[in-house]
Amino acid sequence: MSENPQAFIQIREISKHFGDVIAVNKVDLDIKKGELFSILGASGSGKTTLLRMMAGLEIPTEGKIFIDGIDMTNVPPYKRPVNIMFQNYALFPHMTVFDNIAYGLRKEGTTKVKIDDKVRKMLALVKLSDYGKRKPNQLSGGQSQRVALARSLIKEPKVLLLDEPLAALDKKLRQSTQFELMDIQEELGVTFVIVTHDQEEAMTLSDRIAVMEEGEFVQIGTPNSIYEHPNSKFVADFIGNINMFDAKVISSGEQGLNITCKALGGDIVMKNSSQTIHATDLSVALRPEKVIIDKQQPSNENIDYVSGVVEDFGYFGNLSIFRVRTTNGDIIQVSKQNRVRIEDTITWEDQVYLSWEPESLIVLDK
Amino acid sequence: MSGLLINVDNSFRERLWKNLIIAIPYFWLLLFFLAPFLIVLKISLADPIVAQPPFTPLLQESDDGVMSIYATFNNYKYLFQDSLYFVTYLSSVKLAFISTVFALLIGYPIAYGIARSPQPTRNVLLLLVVIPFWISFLLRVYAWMGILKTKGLLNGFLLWTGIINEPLELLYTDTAVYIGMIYSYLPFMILPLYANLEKLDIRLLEAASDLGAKRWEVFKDVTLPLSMPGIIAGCCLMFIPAIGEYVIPALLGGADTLMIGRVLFDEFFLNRDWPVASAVAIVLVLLLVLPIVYFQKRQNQELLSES
Amino acid sequence: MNQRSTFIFSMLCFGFAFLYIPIVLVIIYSFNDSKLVTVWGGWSIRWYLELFNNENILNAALLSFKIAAITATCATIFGTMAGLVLARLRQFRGRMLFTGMIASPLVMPEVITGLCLLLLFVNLQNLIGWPSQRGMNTITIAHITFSMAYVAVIIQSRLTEINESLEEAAMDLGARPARVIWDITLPIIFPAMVSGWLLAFTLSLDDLVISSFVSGPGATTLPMLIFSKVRLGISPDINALATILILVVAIGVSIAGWIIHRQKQSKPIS
Repeated sequence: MSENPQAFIQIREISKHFGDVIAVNKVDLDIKKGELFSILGASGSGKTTLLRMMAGLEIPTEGKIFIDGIDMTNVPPYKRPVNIMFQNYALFPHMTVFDNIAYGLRKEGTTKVKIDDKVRKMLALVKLSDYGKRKPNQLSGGQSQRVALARSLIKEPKVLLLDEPLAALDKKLRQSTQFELMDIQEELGVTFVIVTHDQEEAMTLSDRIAVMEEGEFVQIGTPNSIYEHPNSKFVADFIGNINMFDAKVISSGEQGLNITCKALGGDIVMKNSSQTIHATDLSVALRPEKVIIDKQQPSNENIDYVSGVVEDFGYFGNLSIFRVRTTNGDIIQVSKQNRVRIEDTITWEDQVYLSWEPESLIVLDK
Repeated sequence: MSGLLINVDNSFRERLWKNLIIAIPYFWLLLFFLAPFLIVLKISLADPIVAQPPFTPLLQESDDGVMSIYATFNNYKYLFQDSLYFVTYLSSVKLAFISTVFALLIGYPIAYGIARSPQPTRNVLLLLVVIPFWISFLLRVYAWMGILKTKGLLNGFLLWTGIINEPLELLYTDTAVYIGMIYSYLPFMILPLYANLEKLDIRLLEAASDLGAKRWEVFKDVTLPLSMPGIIAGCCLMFIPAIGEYVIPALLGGADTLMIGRVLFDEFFLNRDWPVASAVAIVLVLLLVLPIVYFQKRQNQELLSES
Repeated sequence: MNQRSTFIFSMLCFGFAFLYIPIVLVIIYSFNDSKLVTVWGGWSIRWYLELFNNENILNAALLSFKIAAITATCATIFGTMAGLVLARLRQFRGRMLFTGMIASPLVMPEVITGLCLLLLFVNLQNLIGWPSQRGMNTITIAHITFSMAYVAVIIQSRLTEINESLEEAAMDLGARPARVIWDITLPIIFPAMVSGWLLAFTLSLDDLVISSFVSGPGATTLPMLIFSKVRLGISPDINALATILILVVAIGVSIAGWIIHRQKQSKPIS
């Protein structure tokens, strides 16, 4: 990673070893000021450990962390301009909501009048103005989360770290909280770093995402680039659903790539492929929503297509998902928005034709 | 790994304060718990003499000012030669073991019953088990003296109802010691068992039943294995101290009730033979080392699996 | 479940009867006018009056209470320190030894602990002249030593239950570790500290064997006194004493149980 003087948070070759286990393996990362950045990974990928090192709750085995240009690697958590919101909220059970939120300011030595004022403003921001006197065990999950958020924002940290912020909420609440979080972040301009295993969360909230696996970053980019231009089979498979097939390179030149893919019907010419491919064995990937499914054969002769039979399908109201067994024997998953209210619906054992826009194909070599 | 006390920065004050918290209990225990063992070991290697203190010192100065170490294994030899000690150790283990087994057999259904009771009853029952736990051990053993005496309440009751014609010799026998042991240690057995059984998920039993297990099979295959940690904790908490028990055999046992705790006490106070008493203690500790280490390992495992 | 239930139910009845009949009998006979157990002389409180006139018993009781109070307080302080260290500090030099020393008093037979401590005091006396006279001070030290182990175990297991994230959150918000312990850890483990104090108090009050070993002339604790009396046989004034202690315990435990019950009604998330 090149030196980026504008990066607000700079992580350089950070590793964390627990005995023989390498939780985080020499990672580099630059996060911009005011960014809403997510680290996405499965359990055990090392993302939480990385977050804790940024908070100061773990000391890195190697490497350095810079925040706003200052080396924070060995600075203890109570001296960092960083605050963390825990997954289980960690609200102090023996203090009221007001005292919980005021705690950080009291440790700073702020005057009582100022504290009162700031806490009241913060309660209003998270829409809990009347809850000051309550104790944590008298709050619902969503309310607890907002108190935790208030508590960690009141010190106006340079960076806010969030550990699985939406994990404990039910679906409806999750959606509304997502937007609230984004609003608050925009209003306050704080740099957010979120750690999550939930792709939806990462995709919706973030300006940029880093996908992490086994202690290393696999791809870093905007949600769009990660979804539409995954750089590896792992990332393609990890995010959303995808159909992936084996293919072989026939020839490659400046005009594009000639590959053959049995599952997609034979030879395909990939024009202006933006990736440099070195191998001869490849995978070709296609997102289910990019597949066009029709009972009629495509009229345009230049379009590649395969035919098959609907083996299974699920109706979700707003969309339908089909599993089509092609004449080659492969299963291709198709998701289709139910745009038309009354239509000639496709059902089990229907003969169908699958086609796609050429740009929808993703070529992956690893 | 992190930890509250690790995450201190390197300022002197912080480190000093952290080290103090570790040091104070540590050194207290080193001085008042570990050092004594070493001293007992030393004394067990000495001879008894009529002096204050009544044993030969470890370092002795001979006439020409040369320091030498005087240690003897006489006491240990004496222990092993006199079969009485050997028999007493065995008898103590036997008494402790049988009492523990009975206490387990009685305590387990009680703990199970309490764990299965619905709420308001359960708290009351638990309270009723805890109260004897807090009442003086000594007084509870004493209570049995009045009951088991030849002219005591039990005999009085049995004679009065005509079940027996002659009063039973109960007090000052091994039987009385068994009863006393089981009675006194029962709360120590019930509480760990209860703590474990309370966490048992009923749905596991329901699942086993649903898969075709009969009632006793459910117990054998699910409840019993899962309550093992509680059983082991309860047994260790009773068996190990019971081997060295003094009060119960002293008050309820007869002259021929051989328990090592009593022998140690008498050897020390009545015979004033400190070296032999020390040797008895060392051998007893060696006997108990394995169970104690085992108990500690289980404790640590339990704590780790809970966190 | 019927067959099982009847068995369990009868075991419960038998078990509680077994536990309580001796206690109840002691209470009843403390009001027996006659000295003999087999003869009922009518209801009387003469043994209670004799008890209150018995200077030896009152002095011994006072001594035991003083020792117990000091022991409980010191044991709670040291035990809490030890519990904190064991629960929150993952490794340090000599941790295994420390853990061993903490767990051993729980199971070590009292005759051994008593003997060891006495011999220690004798040696210390030879080496540095202290303790010159064994008595309340040596008994207190001995009691603190084994009680602190119990308190440490209670505190340690309570701390392992509490999520460390509470303490981490406090540090993240700017509190140094010392403040975290004061602001967060101690208030939350306070009930455990109270039960540790009570346990240490009871253990000290009830201790016979260790006190006998490390005591000296003039320092007779209540259990030592009771023991010397009952060795010779039943003593009705001891029945009275026992009844009083039983009542105190029963009331104390019930109050504690009621308080815990009230607290559980609003169970905190931690």
